[in-house]
Amino acid sequence: MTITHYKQLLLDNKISTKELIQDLYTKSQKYKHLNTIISNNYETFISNCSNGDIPIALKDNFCITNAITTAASQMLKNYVSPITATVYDRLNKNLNCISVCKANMDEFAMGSSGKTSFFGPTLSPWKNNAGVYMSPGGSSSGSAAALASGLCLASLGTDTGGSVRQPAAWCGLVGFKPTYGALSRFGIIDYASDLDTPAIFTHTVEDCILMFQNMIGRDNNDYTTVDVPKASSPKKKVVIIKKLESDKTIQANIEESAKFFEAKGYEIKEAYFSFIDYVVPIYYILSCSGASSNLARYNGVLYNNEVSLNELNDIFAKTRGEFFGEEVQRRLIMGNYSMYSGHVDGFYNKARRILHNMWLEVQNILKDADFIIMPTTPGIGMTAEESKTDNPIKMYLTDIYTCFVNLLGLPAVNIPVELCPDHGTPLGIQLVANVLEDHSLLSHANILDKHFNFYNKNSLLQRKIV
Amino acid sequence: MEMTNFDVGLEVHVQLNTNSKLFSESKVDDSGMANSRVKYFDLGLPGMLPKLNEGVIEKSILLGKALNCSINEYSRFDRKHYYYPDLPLSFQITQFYYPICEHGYIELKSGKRIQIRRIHIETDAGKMIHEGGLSLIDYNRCGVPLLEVVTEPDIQNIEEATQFVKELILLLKAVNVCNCNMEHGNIRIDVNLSIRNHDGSLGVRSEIKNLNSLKFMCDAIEAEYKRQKNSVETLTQTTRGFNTIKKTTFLMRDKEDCFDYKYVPDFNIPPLHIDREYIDSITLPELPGHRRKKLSEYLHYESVDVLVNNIELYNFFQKACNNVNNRQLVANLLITDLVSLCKKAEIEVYNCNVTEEHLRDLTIEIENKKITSTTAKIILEEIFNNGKSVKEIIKEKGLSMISDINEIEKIIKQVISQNTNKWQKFTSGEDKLLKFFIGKCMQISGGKIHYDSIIDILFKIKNTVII
Repeated sequence: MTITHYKQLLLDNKISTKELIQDLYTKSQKYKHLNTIISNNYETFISNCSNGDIPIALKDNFCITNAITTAASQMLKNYVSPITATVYDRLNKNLNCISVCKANMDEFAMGSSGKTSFFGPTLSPWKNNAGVYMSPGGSSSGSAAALASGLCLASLGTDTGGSVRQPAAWCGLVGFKPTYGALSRFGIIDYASDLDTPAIFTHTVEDCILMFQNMIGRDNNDYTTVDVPKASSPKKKVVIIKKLESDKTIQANIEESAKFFEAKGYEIKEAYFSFIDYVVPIYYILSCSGASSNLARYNGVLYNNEVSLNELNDIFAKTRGEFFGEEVQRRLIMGNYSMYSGHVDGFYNKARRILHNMWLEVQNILKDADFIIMPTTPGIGMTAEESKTDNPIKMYLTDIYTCFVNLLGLPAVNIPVELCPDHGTPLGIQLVANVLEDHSLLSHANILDKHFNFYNKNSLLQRKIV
Repeated sequence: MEMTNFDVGLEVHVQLNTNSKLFSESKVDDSGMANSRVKYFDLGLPGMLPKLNEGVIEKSILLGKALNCSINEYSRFDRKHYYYPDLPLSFQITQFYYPICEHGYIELKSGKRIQIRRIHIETDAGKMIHEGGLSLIDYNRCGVPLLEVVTEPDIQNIEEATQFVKELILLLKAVNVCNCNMEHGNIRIDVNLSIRNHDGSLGVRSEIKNLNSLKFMCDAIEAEYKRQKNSVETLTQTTRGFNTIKKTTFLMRDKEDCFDYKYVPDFNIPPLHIDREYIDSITLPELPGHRRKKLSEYLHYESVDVLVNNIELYNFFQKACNNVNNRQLVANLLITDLVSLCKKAEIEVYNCNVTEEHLRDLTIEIENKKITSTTAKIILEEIFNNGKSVKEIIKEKGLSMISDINEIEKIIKQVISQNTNKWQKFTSGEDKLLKFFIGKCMQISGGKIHYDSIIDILFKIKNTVII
């Protein structure tokens, strides 16, 4: 059920919050095998909720007091934070949201399928026409899968390179990544400080707008936050990016969306991304460097001080080798490599220089347009088996259309459009706007979402498959 | 061993005396139990973000201006990564690429200028203590704001190094950015030393870290010079510590072990854009150099030194000089007499019975020839012990100067008649006996005859006799 529908039912006295949470709890037991949840609070809230509370899931890198926040890593398996993430605190106070569960994720948000979690991979509730479980995508795998299975009414994730938009596309959900700085990162476990963005999963854009409005505003605890200005009047122009390879059904939906806005008097402009071939390497150089910096603190002194050896460097190395998973170690090494003084100029600094040119190019495209319509992912999704591939590059490449958004700090949203005719699994498309145009982006996305009406027509919940 | 042909550059880490830390609201003070001044960000807890203490910017600009630096409108914070238990984040936040101040100098008393390459803001790390086979970590110091003052290798002997640090401390006190207590670790010095190559170019340098007293700095310079001079192997760039007991430097790491700090910007702290207007609005108080010049116009250099080096004495002196003509007299009474009285009694000058007004009154009485310098000392001691005003004591003890020439002659003639032998010798040319006769006159008169008057009349009598 959507938040909007839930609020109506509450008004009409057709449901109580307690009943709802009871249902969600029962469902969470039924779908335990999907492994979407790391820890949960259903039972506590069944006895302790207020009528009107909105049950949501939080990706397990959002800190809450009196709860364990693990980032799906053995390094933090017992970590209890003394602070609560600002965005959840605001949702709790402004909208009566309650966190009924901490969702599974890729370890430290590094992954695109959920399989790098210390607690095991997450399965999507979606199965393809052959009956095979799909991968929910990642790194916010559990947040997406839990919402798609109906274990909560909305969920929060983080989007550093596409980690909310990609799983949203693969799970048939709305996945909105705001402008960098629009939402506070205080209380969210750091991956890459210049790219991390708290982001929202909902069934409809209408729900997303409600959530977003109750989370925004500068935070004194996060000096990188900004106020999002009111929506400006539309420029009545949308942009299609040519030469982006993707599945033909996705292309068709992009064209349909363009025509939809054209019918409303919008001009359609075409443009090209000259940088699309290097965006994945640039993203991985910069995000892995960020990770290498932010994860350096986990060295066995304050966290996981179980390793006892005589040499300091041995303690550091052994702790990190033992308590970080393989993908995390891979990215830390890549990050270190990019930053070493011998090659920092060829990797890290070069990436930053190219980034500057990318910014200019995209500004030129967006300067007189409302938004870009493009694919969220090149492909239609992977099965859970396929996602277990030994080839990390294959997974990195699923970020190709989402990561430039993080590199430039832009707002973007995945809208679910229809089911893939060959496989019966969800497809999504992506709208991308210029910085701080979040409200205008969401209001356009809302119109498009209502046009495709994926939730009512195709969601597992409405079709009573879950 | 004579130390020649070497160059020293210093990196001085100065702990700022702000109320809170650089990026968190923890209190900064030297007291407090271990781990009682730590907030979540200092510990590097995940999800915690830095909040810039803007007071640090003002203090940085003050010090930059006092050191004649240019203040950069744009500067930025970077991360310097290394692993150590007293560094919870495993990186220090510093300003590697764009420091806040650059290109300044400190002028030594000799007139030589030691150039300042840069001043940048950074965080301090915690403290490790090794006790009973355990390594204990106190995080109180984590995140304390530091200013690092980096010089060019302009220092060429130990005396210059000492003068530089002393002058820097005077400046730090003048602009009030540091408590300057070296025993508490408020100031720590790293020494970079190299011996010149034969062709006159700078030699291979070594860095000696963490010297927390002037004496250790000087000893370390000497020890390292000796080591480099006596080294048979080719010198390599090393980072060293100083063993204060053995007085030698020891290897901490060499170029091979050289740690790569992987400097990248800290994105959680937006870059600093400081208004030129704001920079210009920050005014400096009177600096030691200027004060020194000013005082030298009317004071002896030894007095100038004492007053420039001690702010409390200077303030006392300034007040006591109100309406006084001969400020050297005030300085003498203060520095020679009052200070030693206070030292003996183990109290501070501003806590004793003698006030600035007392010194002023005394000086005016001397200027007006009501008392002599000798009686002034007696009066001063009386005030120190028992309070009361200058005029009261002069009256009570009858300490007014004897200015009647006849009376003075009488006293002098009395001394002469009691010391005829010596008088004979004096009149025959033993001029050194002058002191003896002055002393005796002072003794008999209780110091109430002006020194000049004694000499005048003594010579009058001597010459008259001859004639």
